[in-house]
Amino acid sequence: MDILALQNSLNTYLVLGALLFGFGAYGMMRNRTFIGMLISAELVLGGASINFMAFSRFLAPDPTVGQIFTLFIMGLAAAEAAIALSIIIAVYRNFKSIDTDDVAELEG
Amino acid sequence: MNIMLFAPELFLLTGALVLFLLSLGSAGGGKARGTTLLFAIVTVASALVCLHLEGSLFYNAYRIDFFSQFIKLIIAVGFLVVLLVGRQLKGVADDVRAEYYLFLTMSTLGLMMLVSSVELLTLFIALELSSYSLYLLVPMRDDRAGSRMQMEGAIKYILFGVVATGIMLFGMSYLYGLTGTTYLGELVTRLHPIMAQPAAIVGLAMVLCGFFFKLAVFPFHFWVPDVYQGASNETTAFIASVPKIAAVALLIRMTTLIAPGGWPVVNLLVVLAVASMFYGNLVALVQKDIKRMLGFSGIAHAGYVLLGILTLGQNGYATAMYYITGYLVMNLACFLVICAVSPKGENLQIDDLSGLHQRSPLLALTLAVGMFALAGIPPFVGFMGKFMLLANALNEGYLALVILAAINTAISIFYYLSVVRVAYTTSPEGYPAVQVAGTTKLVGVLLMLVIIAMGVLPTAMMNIATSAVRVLL
Amino acid sequence: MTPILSPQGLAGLIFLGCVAATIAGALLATNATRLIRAVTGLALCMVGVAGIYYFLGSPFVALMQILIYAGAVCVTIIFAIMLAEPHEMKRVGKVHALAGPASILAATVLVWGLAALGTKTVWQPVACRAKNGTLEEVGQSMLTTYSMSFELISVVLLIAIIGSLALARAGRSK
Repeated sequence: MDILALQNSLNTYLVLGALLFGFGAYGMMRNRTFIGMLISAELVLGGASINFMAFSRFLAPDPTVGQIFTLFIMGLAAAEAAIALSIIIAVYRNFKSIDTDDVAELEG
Repeated sequence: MNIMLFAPELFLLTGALVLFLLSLGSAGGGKARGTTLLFAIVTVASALVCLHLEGSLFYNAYRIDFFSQFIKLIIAVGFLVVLLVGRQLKGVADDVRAEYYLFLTMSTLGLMMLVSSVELLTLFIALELSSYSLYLLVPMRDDRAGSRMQMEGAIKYILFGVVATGIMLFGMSYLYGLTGTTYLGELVTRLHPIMAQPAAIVGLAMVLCGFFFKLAVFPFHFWVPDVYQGASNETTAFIASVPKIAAVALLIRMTTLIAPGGWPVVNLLVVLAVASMFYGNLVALVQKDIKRMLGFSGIAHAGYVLLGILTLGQNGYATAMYYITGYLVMNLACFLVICAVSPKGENLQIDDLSGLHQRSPLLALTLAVGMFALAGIPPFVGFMGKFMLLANALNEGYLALVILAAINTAISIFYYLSVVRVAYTTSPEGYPAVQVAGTTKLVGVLLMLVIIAMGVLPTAMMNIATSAVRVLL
Repeated sequence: MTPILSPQGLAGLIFLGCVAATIAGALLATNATRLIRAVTGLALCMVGVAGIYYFLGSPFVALMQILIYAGAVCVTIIFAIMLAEPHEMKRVGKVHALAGPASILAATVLVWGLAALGTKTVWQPVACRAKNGTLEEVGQSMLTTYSMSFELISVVLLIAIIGSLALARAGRSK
């Protein structure tokens, strides 16, 4: 395997996308703060974006589609971060803490 | 471009614009509610007028056919009923009501656009429009009573929602990589020859996950109890009913992509259906809060609906449509009672319904009809829907599945009837009287009539659903 | 083997650097004990991803990635951390003892499955391409084929802005 020519293979990018997805899932499962979970969620979206860009570059008849998808994912991720953070700040105002364990009024 | 094709969405969009302008000023909740009601009625009317239109818009990304128009009509009616059911909006402070109605309208708009989208990116954005509005509706509950659970419910909802979106996007990327297109019509033809490939199966299953989240199917149900309990009663009434219609419609649209080679996806649907039914019903048995109970019962009902979808036939799809429409009506009947009985918009324990038949006979009757229907007791719509779903699954050879579903129906009768028992056999002492407005009474009677009519005369509705589904196949 | 001192070799080296930044950033983002470090990890990871986009032939998307993620999103998160002043995370001892290993196991299975899926599948490249994916073509598609999404996302962003304002200010009156 030629380690310096990895950037020319679709598989590299797919594995990288899967890795980011895995990191995101791992972070969602073990993080104890809402902001930490939000950061992990961004990683999941990043993994999906890499997949789109890679397929767009290597396979698709119309390579613009993957790029547009990625741009839209970025926009939505930013919007989602804004909403989530405003809720987190509202939570903080109520609880004075953003640890998930301290927010225990609901049993679920 | 024929503007009539887009009329229902356009009216909702105009309504949202007016609400946006209202939210800039200092208009109170009354004006915002009147505006929203007006536009909701206009939207229902225009959806009726546009029912039989056909066409494509926006470079074929947006398809108008009988399937989409029929579901839009149901969504519009559901939206109107939710507005009427929650018209007092006890759980939301007056100074944010304009924004509240704005988000409610936008969420409905997103759902309507979702059912017409036949292109993955459009579909994704429409889904996000409706989801983001829902994420925002949950924390808008008034915290004057010191209740803070809406914030926790909201943050869990949005974080799990983003992960579900991420999974769906991953699936979409695989479908795009395999076929090179994002248009559903082309996807069908290009995906069928390669359906046996693992990438196609995994991709499709991952795309379905996004809609499983909306429908609250078993492993994607985490948000349900917290959001149902945390959101105000009126918001929960919306979340529990209208988005599920669109989710089922999209599940139907996406499962038409499964060719005969896609049996692993069907097996996945079978497993999820069984898991949802058992999980939802068993956990619902021990609930004290009525909204939590309805949340878990919703998970179980999602399992029943999957019974229809997983047969991948015209009849199964039509029955699933029929069932979810029935579920919308039954659920709204229960939420009508919850919204009306709750004095200041608090959550209700099941015990709070004690002696309801003396405090308000009509509400007690509505609740009883709704609960009987959810439990699947004849002659209501829940029974007819379950009967047709099971009969159809049996015809397709899913005997074990039908037996498990029948066991679940038996389990569920217990907790639904215990609510009715509390309302009818306990004494109302110590519980406040219930004031019921005329509109609420009227809506309650109408909902009961629809529940009975759909249960007694299912053929009319089934014929419409069948011809709607036929467009897709 | 590509010689390391050729243009291809150097490009490969830079690519490996981007991959390393992405993975190191993701590790930091998910494992850091302090939130501010986690955000730094996210920023590093996203800059690495931007480099990867550059290698995928799209400098414009790479630029957007840096602007939106490293710029807007990370800065917003840092603001939220400063506003919410969280305590040091008291993670140890609070979580179930098996939660860590279980989530590592689950994530590993997930990554292994998806990576195997990606590498084992025989992807069919198309013979001829109608477009090259240049910036002009991206812009044209966005305003023709994807015009609907383009209009819709503006509505979504409007919703996000109004929503954040309504929530963070706790109503219009204050």
